[in-house]
Amino acid sequence: MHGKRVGQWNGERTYLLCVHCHNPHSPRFKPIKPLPPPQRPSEMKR
Amino acid sequence: MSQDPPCTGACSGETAPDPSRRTVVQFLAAGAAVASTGCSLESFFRKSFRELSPAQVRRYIAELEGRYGRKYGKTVTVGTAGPMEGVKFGYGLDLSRCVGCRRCVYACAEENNQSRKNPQIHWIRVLEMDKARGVDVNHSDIYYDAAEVPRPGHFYMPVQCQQCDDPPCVKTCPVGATWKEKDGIVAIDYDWCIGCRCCMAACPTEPGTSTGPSRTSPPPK
Ligand code: SF4
Ligand code: SF4
Ligand code: SF4
Repeated sequence: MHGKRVGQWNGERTYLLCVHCHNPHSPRFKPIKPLPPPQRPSEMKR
Repeated sequence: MSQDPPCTGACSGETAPDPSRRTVVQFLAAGAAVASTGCSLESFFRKSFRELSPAQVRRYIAELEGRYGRKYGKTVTVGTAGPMEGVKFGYGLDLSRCVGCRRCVYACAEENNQSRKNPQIHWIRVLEMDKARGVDVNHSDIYYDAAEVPRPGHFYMPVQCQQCDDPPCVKTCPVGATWKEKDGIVAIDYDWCIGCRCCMAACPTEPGTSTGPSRTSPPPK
């Protein structure tokens, strides 16, 4: 599987090729900062 | 199980009230309860969503749009589109591509307008697992806090409602608030749900846990 589809599943959609987003000479995803972990139940106030 | 009507507070005397009077008292007590919670008499006595006539659905949707519009100061449209003929939805996930960045978790909360804090409602949880152990949910961690992902030696598995073909959450619901649509989507009638959390206990993937708290917690102050 290569590339990506964006848009509507039953309407207009766009097919992107790998090199639309990746450097073909270094295609691996670079490490990225994750968004924060979820709150623990003990941290939630009612 | 006995099906006695709930006590209305009118039965403390020596003699039981006659049945017709009792019905009226119950009705008035229910009306008082409705007034104190601020919801309309019609919504309080509303049937489950699947039993509403098209006209009742239209009235109900208009009421919701009005309520949400006043609350958020915006024009709000509530859709009721049903399943499409010849369409069946499925759920796909390519584990080899997931890097555990949690973008999907927060995108889902925004798209579905879930509570952001107190309580924080996430319908997707991302499990971090050890490559050495393979898929081992008992040793996974959803609270990982890393400067960068993917962390060496780990892989990630986002877990959310799987839209089960034979959903335990639907089977366990005592009031029939959940059901499976013809197109495969598992739906819930929030106004029919009594907040008992049986679906949370029955759900094998845990995302069902999100439906209980979102229903039973008071709105943020
Ligand atoms: S956690 Fe995984 S599935 Fe979710 S947005 Fe990040 S890479 Fe995609
Ligand atoms: S909430 Fe749980 S049991 Fe119900 S359909 Fe989703 S994954 Fe299945
Ligand atoms: S919490 Fe609501 S949807 Fe879940 S089993 Fe109870 S009544 Fe049904």
